[in-house]
Amino acid sequence: MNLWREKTSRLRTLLWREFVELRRDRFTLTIMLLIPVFQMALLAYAITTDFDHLPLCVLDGAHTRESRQLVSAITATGYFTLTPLRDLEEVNSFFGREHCRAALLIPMDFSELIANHKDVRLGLLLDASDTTMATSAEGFLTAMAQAFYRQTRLERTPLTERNLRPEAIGIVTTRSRMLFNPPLSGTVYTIPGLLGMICMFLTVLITALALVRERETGTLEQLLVTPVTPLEVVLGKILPFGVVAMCAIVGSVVFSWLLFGVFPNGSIGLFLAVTPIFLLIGLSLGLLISSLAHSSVDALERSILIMVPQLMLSDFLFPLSLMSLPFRIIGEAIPLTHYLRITRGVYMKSEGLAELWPEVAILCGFLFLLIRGVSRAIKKQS
Amino acid sequence: MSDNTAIIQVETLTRRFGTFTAVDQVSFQVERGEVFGFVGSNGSGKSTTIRMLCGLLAPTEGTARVAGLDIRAEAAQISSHLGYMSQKVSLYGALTAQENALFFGGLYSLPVARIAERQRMLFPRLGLTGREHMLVRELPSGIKQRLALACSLLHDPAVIFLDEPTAGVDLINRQVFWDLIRELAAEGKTLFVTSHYLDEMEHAQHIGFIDRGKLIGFDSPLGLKVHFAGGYRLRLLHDEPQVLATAAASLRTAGYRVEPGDNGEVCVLLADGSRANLEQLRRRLHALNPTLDGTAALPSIEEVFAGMIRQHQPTQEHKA
Repeated sequence: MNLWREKTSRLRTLLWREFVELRRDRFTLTIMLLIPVFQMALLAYAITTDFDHLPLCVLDGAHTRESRQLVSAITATGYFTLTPLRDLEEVNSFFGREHCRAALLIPMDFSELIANHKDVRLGLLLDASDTTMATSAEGFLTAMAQAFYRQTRLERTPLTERNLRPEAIGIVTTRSRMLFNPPLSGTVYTIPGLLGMICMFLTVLITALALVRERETGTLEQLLVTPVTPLEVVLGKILPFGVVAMCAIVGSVVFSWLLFGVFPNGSIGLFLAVTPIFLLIGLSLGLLISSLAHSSVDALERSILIMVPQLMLSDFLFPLSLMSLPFRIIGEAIPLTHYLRITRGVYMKSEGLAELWPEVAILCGFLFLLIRGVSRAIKKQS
Repeated sequence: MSDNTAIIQVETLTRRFGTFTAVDQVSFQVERGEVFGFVGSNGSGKSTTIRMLCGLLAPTEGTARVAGLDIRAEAAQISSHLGYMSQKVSLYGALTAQENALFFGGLYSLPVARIAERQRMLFPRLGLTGREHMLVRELPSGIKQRLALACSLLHDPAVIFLDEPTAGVDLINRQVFWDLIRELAAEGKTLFVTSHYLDEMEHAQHIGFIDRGKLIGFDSPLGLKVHFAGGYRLRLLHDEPQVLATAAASLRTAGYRVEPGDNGEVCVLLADGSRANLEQLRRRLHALNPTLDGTAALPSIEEVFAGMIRQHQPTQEHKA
């Protein structure tokens, strides 16, 4: 009991000092709080898979009222910049240039086919050198054509029970089905991933420098000759920064909601409960780097060396499911992978603890192992 | 246990890093209430020994007892009995002097009232009054060093390790600091001090010399001078360098070791620096030139140390 009181008193002292230092160091505090929001704003715009004013050429072979309606519907969305073409020759010579990244070919019998309730085949040429753009444009244009077809047919057909049956509608079909992100918005997909990345960068960099600095000034050694245990040193470092980082992350969640209208569909409670765990993982990882580094510069280099593969293999930039087995195994060993599954699950699939508990358990395991690892590293180096 | 038992007992303490032996079979004792000077060049194993005694590093072999506690088995309890201050003056710059005291006191689980009481006792003695609310990074280095000492004394430890406490401190502050060290020893504290300024070690009751991991000498300052450096020597001074030169030459032929000293003086070393031998040398000098006079002097700690290092140098000439 007495021992416990001494333990908490020591930890309280460590936390108190860290907060006093943070309060005095306004600059660092401001940077820590503002950087996530800046990153969010900058990267959400930059990494988004949405397209805007895509150069689209249209070869309208039909020149009918319906074909012109389709073209103007596409123009009205504002996502495309249209260039009308006269013949196929022009398509061949224009395609792939800056002003023609995609081409829509409307057949001569467009209107007749609609009128006769026949299959309509639209031609779509896409510059696949930019796969993201190509897939998004394909999905978008197919969906538009489908909607247009359905609407014109409904306008011209008497509303009978037969005409409303699904199989009677789907003549222009798409093979891909977009789930969880019906408006095909890139930001919805990007932001949960960005949150994970921001958590990682923020936390690892804060603590990677913290312990090295204490060793350089000799205060770490001074701490270790007192009754303080290495575990208390670790907790005394990661808890205060965890609080600050959590404030910054809540700030960027609110920010992304106000700016992009992106907000978790699923359990926000789970998100708020898991994020501190992940932040503490990042902070402990930073401490681990710090305890192995020889100097501040060394610590910075090591953190970058550790973070870049995480971005590559965590499903943040490249889908993990498409990688070969060894890389998938490495990916599973990265905490960020599991955190991203939680954020994406919560943001896009309305998931909660019922679906995501294995990921939560894995993150808790990571945190436990890391804290133990850092405590040992601190004890060893002394 | 009486008050005279050794408060630090080091027994065949050894620490190896891989194949390198940093501390090799070191044994010595320090009595309660003593100032013990621990001297060695950089990389001699001095800091490694201190780190082991403070529980920062586990010994490879051997053991030691500090304040009656075994550094291997009872490492966790030792920390509350010892104070430690390193040359780095490890304080938190963004905190005020008082906040640093509160912080370090808190780590020993001292109640705030007790910390305040100790602070009232220590701050005036260390000349820290009036600086309580200044940020540590704005304090001059002499003050910082005294604050660091105050912080390591808050929990009233029996043994205080001071690892090069006066490094980078000016002469006046060094003197003030050593006065404090002696006062603390007089109160019954044991102080284990290392320093590169060997003249400071004259204040110590005992001195241990460590070289390449081995303890090569352990004695009182006087004992070291007499037993390890030949004891008394004669310093000759004369207005005319010519007189000195001829005297030196004839002494050399008589078999004395003659070395040039500071400020143009000449130093005559004796193989056995006893009083009788000293008198004999004096008579010989008088016979040589009555105007010549020498002052008997003991070697400085620095000279003793330099001589011992030379003696332990593993060179071929010595063996031949």
